[in-house]
Amino acid sequence: MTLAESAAIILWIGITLYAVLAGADFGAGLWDLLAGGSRRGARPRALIDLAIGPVWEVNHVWLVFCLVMLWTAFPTVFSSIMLTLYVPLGLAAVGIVLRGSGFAYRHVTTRFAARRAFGAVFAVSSLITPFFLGAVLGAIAGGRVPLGGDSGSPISSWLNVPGVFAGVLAVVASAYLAAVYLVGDAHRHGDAGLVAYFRVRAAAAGAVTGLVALSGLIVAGDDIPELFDGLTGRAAPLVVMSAVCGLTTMVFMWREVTRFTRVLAAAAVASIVWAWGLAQQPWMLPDQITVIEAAASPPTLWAILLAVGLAGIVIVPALALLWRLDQASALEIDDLDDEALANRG
Amino acid sequence: MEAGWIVTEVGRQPWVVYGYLRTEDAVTTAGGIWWWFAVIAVIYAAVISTGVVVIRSMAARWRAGDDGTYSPGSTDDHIDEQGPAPYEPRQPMPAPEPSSGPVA
Repeated sequence: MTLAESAAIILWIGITLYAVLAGADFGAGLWDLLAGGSRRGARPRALIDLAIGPVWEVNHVWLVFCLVMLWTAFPTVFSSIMLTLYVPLGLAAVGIVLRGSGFAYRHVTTRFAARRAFGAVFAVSSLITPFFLGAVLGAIAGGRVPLGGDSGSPISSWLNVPGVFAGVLAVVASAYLAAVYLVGDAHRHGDAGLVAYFRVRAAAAGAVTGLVALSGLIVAGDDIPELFDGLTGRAAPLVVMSAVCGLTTMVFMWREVTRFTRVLAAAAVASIVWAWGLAQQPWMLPDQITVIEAAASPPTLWAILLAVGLAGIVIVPALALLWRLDQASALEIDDLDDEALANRG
Repeated sequence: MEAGWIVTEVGRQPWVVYGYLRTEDAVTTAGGIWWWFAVIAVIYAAVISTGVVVIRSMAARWRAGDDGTYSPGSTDDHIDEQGPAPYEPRQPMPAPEPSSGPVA
């Protein structure tokens, strides 16, 4: 395996972590949006607040990691993407800023009207950000990013079938992950009503995500023949694995099994990311530049790989501790009932 | 911290990469950048001013001795039951005379 391929694999790991961890944050915002009126949605919103409160800022780490990895290890591809896709990337960034501030401000205000307004900002931007980030990936996969970037169209590069499809897939996959994780959180709080509430939604979101993901094969077949060949050829085992994990999660949801559901849901989404990467091999930008051609010079690659290694040694234990404390409910400063009462207004 | 940032960013001009790449050559060739600048300036102005308002109202609630739960209609009685929250004043203001017994 060459240095360039190692860097690409690390980048893909970063994308996967972002998808299965921060994707759930976005999805939680989506369920917040769909929770209904202030009375009916008070308790689900309270659970969402408690679930993502300790971890939502940490999940931004993954986005920064992916951007830095791409920029340092594959600079020409980075510049091509930035020059062409600055519209969806900029809108995703706006979404991230509004999401974060909406969530933070909602948490500390007491006036009901203010809480509702901030909540709406948080929820709507949780819909925007995964859509535009997905559209960026769709535009890349669809070969709409020209190398050098100058001739890339700022709108039609992503506002097309592959781009919009990928955006929609990102949104529904986020909702699916969030619902499955929230079932686990509801269990931890011992709230049977919320467990049932999110179980139904997890099953529904799983069905929708599965259908959307499968229709990706049709999109690829129509629009991106090389990718279709990859998906049905060397990446086919991953496609199958994604389907199997997704179906198993749905069965577990239906049969009220609690173990492994989150791992399976995450695996289903992760397999989609890796199926794409494997199917697109050896291209970084389809039909234009391969991974090895796009890579920076070896000293740069060694430096970034070393930096990633050191960062991993420092960060992984801290993240593990965060995960342990979060799962033990040791990081919550509010009570589910109090939050629900405040949400009710 | 902001002063340090200004030092590095202004001090490095006109180079982006010292001795190799000037800022004017590194700038994006994409169009519409001024629109983005305007959008981002507006958004940050909104977020910052909202933040100032929110923090000031948090401070006002702290001064009033709010016990920190978000239930509407929580009264000072809660302080007696639960004790003051970590960053709360030890007694609600205005303070009663010292000889009048437990804090109301």
